[in-house]
Amino acid sequence: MPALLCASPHVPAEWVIAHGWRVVRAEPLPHATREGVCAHAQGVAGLHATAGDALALTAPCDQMRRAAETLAASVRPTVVLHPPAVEDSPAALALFRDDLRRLGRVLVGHGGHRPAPGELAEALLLGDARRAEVRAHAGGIPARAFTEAVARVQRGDPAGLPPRRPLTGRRIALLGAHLVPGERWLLDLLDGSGLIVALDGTDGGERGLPGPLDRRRVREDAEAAMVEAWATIPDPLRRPNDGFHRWLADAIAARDLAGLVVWRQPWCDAWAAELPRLRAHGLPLVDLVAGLGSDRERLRTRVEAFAETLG
Amino acid sequence: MIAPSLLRLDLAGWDHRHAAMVAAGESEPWPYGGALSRWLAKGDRRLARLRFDPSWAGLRLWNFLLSEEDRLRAHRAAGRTLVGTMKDLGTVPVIADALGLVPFYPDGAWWIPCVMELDDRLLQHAERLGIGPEFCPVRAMLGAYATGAHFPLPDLNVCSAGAVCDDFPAIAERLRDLGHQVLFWQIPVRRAPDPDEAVVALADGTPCPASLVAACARELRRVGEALAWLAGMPLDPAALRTAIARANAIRATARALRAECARAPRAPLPALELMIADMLTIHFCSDIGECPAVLAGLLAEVRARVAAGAGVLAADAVPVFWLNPPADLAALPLLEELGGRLVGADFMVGHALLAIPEDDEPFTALARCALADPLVGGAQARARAAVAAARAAGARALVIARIPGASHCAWEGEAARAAAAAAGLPAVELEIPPVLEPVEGRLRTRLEALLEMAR
Repeated sequence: MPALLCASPHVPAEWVIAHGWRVVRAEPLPHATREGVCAHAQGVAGLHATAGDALALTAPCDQMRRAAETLAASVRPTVVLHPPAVEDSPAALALFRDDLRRLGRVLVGHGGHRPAPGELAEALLLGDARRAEVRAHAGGIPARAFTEAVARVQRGDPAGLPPRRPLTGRRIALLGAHLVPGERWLLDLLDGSGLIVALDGTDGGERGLPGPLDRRRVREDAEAAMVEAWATIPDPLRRPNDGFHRWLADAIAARDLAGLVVWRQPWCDAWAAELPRLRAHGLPLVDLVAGLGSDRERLRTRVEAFAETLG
Repeated sequence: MIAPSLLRLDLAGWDHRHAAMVAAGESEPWPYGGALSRWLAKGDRRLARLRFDPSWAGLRLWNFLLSEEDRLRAHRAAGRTLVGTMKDLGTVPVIADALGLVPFYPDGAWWIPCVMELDDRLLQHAERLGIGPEFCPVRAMLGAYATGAHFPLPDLNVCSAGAVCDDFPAIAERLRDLGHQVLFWQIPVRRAPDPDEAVVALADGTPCPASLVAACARELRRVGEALAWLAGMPLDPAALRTAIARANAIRATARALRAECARAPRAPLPALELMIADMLTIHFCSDIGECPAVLAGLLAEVRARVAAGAGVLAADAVPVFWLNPPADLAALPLLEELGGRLVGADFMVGHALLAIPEDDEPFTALARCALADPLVGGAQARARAAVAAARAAGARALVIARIPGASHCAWEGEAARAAAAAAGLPAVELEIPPVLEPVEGRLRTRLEALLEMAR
């Protein structure tokens, strides 16, 4: 079965699977940053050397648009999808739908097949159930185990969750764009500092999952239900971004969160600009900027100090 | 040898000439006329460093530009509705004009720190609001909104998002936090059509998937509906066509000016005035009635100089193509001081110079221009287009002006340098801050080396 290398949560695994392909989640290698370039985007730009029969990625920000461009010249089919950049725009939604259809055409043209009647709906409903199972474990399992479960579900696989167990510590949200694989030590650091990641608000965490699907809508028009769900994944880059902040406010209240940990890449303008409004949610916030090597101890100190302030 | 009458003037020189010309009976039958030095007195300190074209047409251009804030305040006092159009650089103002609204680009505030030599403290204001030096100098716009000390605050802001720049939508989002209304609209990322896709030619001839043009047109229609609501009247298709024709007349003059300057054996107009002329096309400097005359005067001056074989620079000035507007206006005169000459440029407003097709449905026509924005199609396409344009204009060198903190520049420089190298065109990438003095030595050295290589 051909493999689609996916570098974004906005590529629905169910769509890929319904076209007879399997999903391999891309793991961009961390890169030393050059001035002005986001490390994640630079890592994505290096994916041309990674195995996969085709590549799909989304470009919600300028850094990713530039990274995607460097991959477009690749010998394997590469499809860049653009989730809506603005709210409440039928045209933006239609553009995203057209991008997904374009991906579908590429998958069909390179060894896949058009979804059989009902195939997409069944895949979506199965995925929906798996995502619900994952969300139910938020804050009840170690952060790394949760992220890995999300990654499995985003590939279209079962969640493979460990059993929930009582965790002790103050409940926090981890927010940011992407936690590249070499940065997952942060999750262990948070767990080990007396913090419970009750909300993983990174692209590779719970925030990157589409919301619960309307089962009737899925049966009526699976493609439309899919587009609407994936187009509304909470994202501060979609303007105006009140939807993202409402999602966060709801989660803060529902999960009794005590603080916010922001993890961002250097040169990520979008998340840097969001800090004032994130602070306006009224919770203690620590802003951590990713780096390589020796920065880890500095970050440990800051996380531990932050945990202490939460009591 | 440059004729004495064509030597560029500093402020004192222009004051002297202005007084002499007024005494000799020359008049400035436009309300914004007067000595340039009055702008220095108002705080535009950078003018003291610059050198200006010595013509009456050049003076008119500068006074027209520098009086824009006064004009906007007069519009506000007269009860007109102001629209802050952002980022799209040239498209939405045409729609606003059709509705009798006054559009302007608050983006232009990015030059305030330069023009006021940082006295304005707009960048500090922006930093206090969470937008610091890692962002592009357009963050000065946020400071301008926060202080209200420059342009009158618009009744509505309209900002494009989705294809260009992360800084801008992020800053516009902060404007919302300050209580300003912002309507965002999505401009699609331009890509090459697939073999099985319907294709539409953009205003510059670039083939584009029809689906992207249709989506962009649909978004512009949504913007039109919002502006019509603001104006309290429906958008009349005939009025939109008239506005397109009006914009096209201005664009045609600007294109003619560029063409005359590029092909003339000697530079008939300094680079700074050329760049300002380009910029007038994006929103007509808040006076669509006056803008055509300003550009026409400049064009007439240029044509007269070309006919006389005269120029403002030495005959052996090295022809250069310039990519990106410099954050400091003084960078262009610096190029000329070192022996360079601007024969072409991509100041990020190239699509505002294109003729909007008048034989198409108006919103589709506007979309065909908006999608021709050099930044919407990616760094590689932009680099190839810039090098091709440089070659066509006879440029022997390429200057890539990196804008500090701009998300696109970090990637584009590499693409532009590679495209230039492949074409055998010497190129240099220079980061130019809003006030270039701290890095002037480095800029001089690198520009000199480039020009030396290109001679």
